[in-house]
Formats: sequence, structure tokens, C-alpha cells
Amino acid sequence: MKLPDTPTSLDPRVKWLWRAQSMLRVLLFWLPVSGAAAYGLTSVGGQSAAAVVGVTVLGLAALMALLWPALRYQHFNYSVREHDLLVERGVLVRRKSSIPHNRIQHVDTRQGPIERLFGLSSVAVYTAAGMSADGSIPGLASDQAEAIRDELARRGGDDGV
Amino acid sequence: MSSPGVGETMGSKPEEEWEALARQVAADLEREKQARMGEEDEDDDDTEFYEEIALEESHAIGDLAPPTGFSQVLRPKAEEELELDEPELTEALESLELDEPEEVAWRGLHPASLVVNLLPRTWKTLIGMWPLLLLVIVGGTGAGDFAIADFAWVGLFLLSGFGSTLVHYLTLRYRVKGGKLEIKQGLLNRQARIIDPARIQNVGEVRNIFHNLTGLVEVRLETAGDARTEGLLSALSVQDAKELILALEAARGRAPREEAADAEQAPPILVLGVGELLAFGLSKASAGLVAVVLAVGLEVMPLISPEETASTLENLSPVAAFGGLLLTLVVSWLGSASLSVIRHFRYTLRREPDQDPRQVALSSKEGLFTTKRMRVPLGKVQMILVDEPVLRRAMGFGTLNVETAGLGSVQEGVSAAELVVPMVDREELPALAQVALPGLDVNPWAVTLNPAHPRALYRMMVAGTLQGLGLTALAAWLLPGWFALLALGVLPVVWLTRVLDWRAQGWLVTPDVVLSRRGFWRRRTWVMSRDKLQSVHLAQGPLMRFHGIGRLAVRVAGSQVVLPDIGWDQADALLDELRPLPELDLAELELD
Repeated sequence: MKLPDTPTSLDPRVKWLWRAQSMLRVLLFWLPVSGAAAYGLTSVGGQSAAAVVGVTVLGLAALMALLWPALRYQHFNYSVREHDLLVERGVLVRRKSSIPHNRIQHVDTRQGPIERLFGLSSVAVYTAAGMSADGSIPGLASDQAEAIRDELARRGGDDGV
Repeated sequence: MSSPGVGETMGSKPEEEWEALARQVAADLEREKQARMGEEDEDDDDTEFYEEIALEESHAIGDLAPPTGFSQVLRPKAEEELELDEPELTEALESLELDEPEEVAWRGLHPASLVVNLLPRTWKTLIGMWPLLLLVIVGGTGAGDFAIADFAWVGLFLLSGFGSTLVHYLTLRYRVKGGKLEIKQGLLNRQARIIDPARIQNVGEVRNIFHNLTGLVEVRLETAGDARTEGLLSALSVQDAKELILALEAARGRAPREEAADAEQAPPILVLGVGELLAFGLSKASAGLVAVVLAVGLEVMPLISPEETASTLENLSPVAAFGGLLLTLVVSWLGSASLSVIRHFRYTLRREPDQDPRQVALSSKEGLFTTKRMRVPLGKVQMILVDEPVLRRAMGFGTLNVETAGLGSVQEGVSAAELVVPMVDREELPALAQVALPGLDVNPWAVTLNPAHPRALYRMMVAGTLQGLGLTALAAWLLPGWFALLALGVLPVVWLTRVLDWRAQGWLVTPDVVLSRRGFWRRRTWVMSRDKLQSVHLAQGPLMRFHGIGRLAVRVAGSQVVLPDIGWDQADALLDELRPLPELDLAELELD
């Protein structure tokens, strides 16, 4: 499989993966929170006001859960260049990371239960500097993730420590 | 330490016993090998394991290559005896087809470690159990009735502290075997650690008062990541410590040294006196500045509003309170300064030469009650940080921090550098910086740095103004009437500071190093060697996007250098340009 050496988007399915994950968060976090807020407001502003607030909070969270992944997808790209792995991401805070191949200590591919449903995997890259978050690529087709992992692992070099 | 080494026992045995011994060794080895196979889950890299075995095989006594490290360096005498028996030994071992004849005895702590560790360990136990202790003292049998039961509890805590000391002494064992350091300890919670000497970032020797009284020393080894041996090798005799360190160095491929070429023999390149150390303590950024500002404020107050001050003086108690506050401040300032003197007392810095330039090391020795020796091989230096708070700068000095991938000691909540040179004369800073970072190809104090982006100043001004206004609002809320508007006077100061801060910022990328400088009140200069670069990261928040600037961070193992805010396009170009260089050939630098 050919690895992308120019900025490449993730697998489009990742938008639905992120939406699913966000909706799960809405159900597990925002639903109880807005419910509790509405319950708390009932005594202060009456039932209708409480309902409005609760539904608004929940609605906004759900809307963001649907819209944000598209933005995130649009702003995420990666490329395996000649000397480094370049990852660009971030909607509000824009981040760009360059991880030279010869400083990569090890590479993981990961797949959670929801990711498995979508047939996606993520790649995480570790250097001796430790912090790995900026060098991870979520939402790749599983075979693509494995190809990247193998290629990056193959190119490793000295650790500079 | 008197535990017999392999050579000594071997040397004194008659021939018949040899075969029995060899068989015994073979059996032991087989057992151990199997045990280690089982332990491998800690190390998921199988190849390393086999490499280790291969390494040990190459030292089979069959060809009687001198065994690695430990026994060779530690026991020259034993080795001689060994050589006498060479033919018989070779035969005996070959007939059994041994592949791992090397068996190194485990060593333990010095018995006096009981004394040395008792107080620190008891203290640690007490600290660890403080909620329980508090419960006992505050709750328990009730106020005013501090009964025997309470004493019993405290006694129990003290006893458990003693118990942990005893267990520590009885169970801690270490050895250097097959080129690796092995440490194990624990009775109920067993812990075993294997450290590859090549991965050791720096070696520290610490002696507190009790160590000094008993002539012992604690050895601390740091590797990258969070594996450190602080508190493990807590009390070794000086001889044992020296042997261990030499064995580790030998295992790392450093040529064994003669005693004469030992660390102490290299001439010191820097020695600090009490006066300099006191100046160092007094010029510590925060406390010193606060005290000076307060003192100046106290001088200026009567000039601005004499009546106000006079009337306050009549109501003695607020003044007394203020005076008390000031006194506390001054006392704590002086106190922290004296602590610095005690901590760094008789600071001596040496450069230990070596044939292998990667093994050339900086070593420091310091301390009055607790003496500390730190040794950092130059090949392990990740970056240097020169700290010049305004007072220290005015005195004509700066502080040099040498950082490796080790964790460093944690002081005042932040991770400090591994090796700190507290006071370096400004004239000598460039030369010393170059000793610590041989790749440094510019004089950071003479070279013209690239400025931060002008928009960065704009951003800082806006942020500062908002903070100043916030302060005014707070003052308006706390203080009566128009008096609060005086707080607006803080704004020009804020603006001035921001301008000074911005002007102090600068960065430079040379073929060999990345350099960044920030701060006016506390000017700090970070310099990293480009061959240590791990990754490069660029970030831009929404406001920064509006200004078209970005923040570039270059990471090395254990730390990072953050450049001042620069234009996004420029930062982007740097992101592409900065890639790890092949490792610097220190030998070549040496020749220049």
C-alpha cells in the first residue's frame, strides 16, 4: 500500500465514528447534566423555564456532536514524508507536529469497540520525549493504519538519548 | 563489603571440588535462565533478552576473555588467582559445556544503613500516614486527655518506620551481572529492577549528616523516563559505591581507569565561595524581588503622602503588623539565602577528561551537611538553560543548568536540572556553556538574536492591560471610594514590563543548535543541540491566528525549547527545516 507523502485526510468514515462517540457522550454526560439542571431550575423558575433550559442545553450539545466532527475532519491531515511524520490538526487551536522517523521509539495501532464497528484503527507514535498525543492519527482504515505502523517502525533509528 | 566474589572462592579450591562447583554453577544458571524467561513479561522486546544471553556467552570462561565489568574491575586480585588456575578451570568448564559460567554474588547495604536510614525512613512513614496520625491526635480519646493510647499509636508508627528500615536493609540486594545492574528488594512487595548501564543518564552520590557520620554514601542513578534509583542504594560504603560506579562505567564501555585518574584528580574549573553563594541565594528571583519592592515602597510611601503615613504611625498596631510582615519577609529571604549557601557549600565543578569524548563528564560536588556529587557525561546532555534573574544579572552572574533525559530532582514543585552551576561570572558563561554543550557554535550573549514578532508585543500589551484593569476592578471592590483609581497607576508599569519582556525575547537556529531567550525580570536562555531533537510542534490559538503568529516548540528527551511567538509562515518553514542531525561527532569537536 502506498503511503501518502502529501497532506491527506483521514478516512471519511471517521466523521461518523466521531459523531457516534460524541452522541454517546451526550447521552452519558449531557443528558444527566441537563436533566439535573432542569430539575434544579424547576423550583426557581417554574417547570416551563426549566424544560426550555434543559432542552436547549441538550439540543446544543447534540448539534455540536453532529457538526463538530465534520470541522475536525476538515482540519485533520497527515503525511508520511521522506524524513518525518507530519500531523496537522485542530479547529480552534491549530497544531502541526513533525516527528522525524529516526526518533520514533515505537508505533502502536489501536482499535476500540466502536472503532471496530466502523472498521477503523488509530496509530500512536512514541518518541523518547514521551508525549505522544500530537503524534497520533485517529480514524484510519485498519489496513492503512497497519501499513503506516509497519513503515514507521521499519524506518526507526537512534533515539538521541 | 565482605561477601565473597566468585574469583576468591574459585581460587582457593582444590581440583576435585572444581567439577562439583562447576556442576552446581551450571544447575544454578539453568534455574536462573528459566526464572528469567518467566520474568520476561516486563520487557516486551525479546531480542534484547537474546542479545544479553549472547553477550554473556561471549564471555564464557571457555575462552577466558576477562568477564565484563564487575569482577574484572572490582577484583584485580581475584583475577590474578583465577589466571593461575586457568587450564584446570577451562577443562572443567568445557567438559560440562557451560554457556554461562559467570555468577556474581549479590551485594547488600552496609549494616550502618540502619542508622543512616532510620530517621529519614521513619519520617517518610510518618508523612505517608499523616491522615491517620492526625486522626489519632485530634480525635482519639478527646481533647485534654492525651492518653497512653495515643502514645501507643505514635509508638506504633515509629515502630513501623523502624520495621521498614530493617526490611530495606535485610532485603535490598544488587549486583552487576552480564553488563546489567540488577537491584531487588522487598519482603511482601518484591521489586526487582534491571538497568542497562548504557541507559543511565547521570550518576549522583548523596551523603546526608548520617552518611557523613558513618562514612557511607547513597548512590542515585537516573535513566530516561521515570525509572530512578533514589532511595534504593541508600547506604553503601565509599569503597562499594566506587566499585559499583566503576563497574557500571566499564559495562558502558568506558575504559577502566586508574585510581590516579579518578574524578577528584581533575583540576576544578569552578569553585564557589560563601560570598558568591550568598549572592546567589539573595538574588533568587521571587523572594528577593518582593523584598526589594517592599523596601522601596516603604521608602516611597512617606514621600507621596506624609500625613497618611504619619497618621498610620499613630495607630501603632497596623504599622506593627506591616513591620512584622516585612520582617518575616526579610527573615525568610535571608533564610532561603542561607539555605542556598548550605546546599551549595564549597561548590566545585570539574571536567573529567576521557579518551572517549562521549564519556567526558561534568561533575559537581556541593553541600555542607548533605554533600552531593553529580556526574553527567557530555554525550547525555540534552540541553542547557541559563537563568539570569535581574538581580543576579546586575551582579554580573548567571546560573547554568545542564539537563539530561533523566528526571532531575524536584525542587519547589518544579523539576530542576540534573546539574546546576549556581553562580557563573558573566565573562565565563559563554566558555562554560560551550563546555557543557560542545556543539554550541555561537556565543549566546554576543550574537544578534532574531526578534519575536511585533504582533506578539501587541498581544502581550492587550493581555497586560486587561490584567491591569482586572486588578483595578478588584481594588475598587476592596478599597473605599476613588482611592481604587490609584490602582490604575499599575498600568504604565505593566506596559513597561511587557515592552521590556518583548525586547528581551529572541531566538536563533544555527547549523548546530536551537536557542531561545525570554523574560526581562527573569531572563532565561535555552540552548539545545540539534542532534538531540525529538520532535517539533507548532501551535496557534484563535487570537494568534488573528495576528498571524504561531508558537514553535522543539522537544528533546525530558524537556523542550519554546521559541518566542513568530510569524506563522516563518514557524512553518522552521518546522520543515528542523530535523534531527546525525549525532555530533564529539571527537571531531575536540580536535578543533
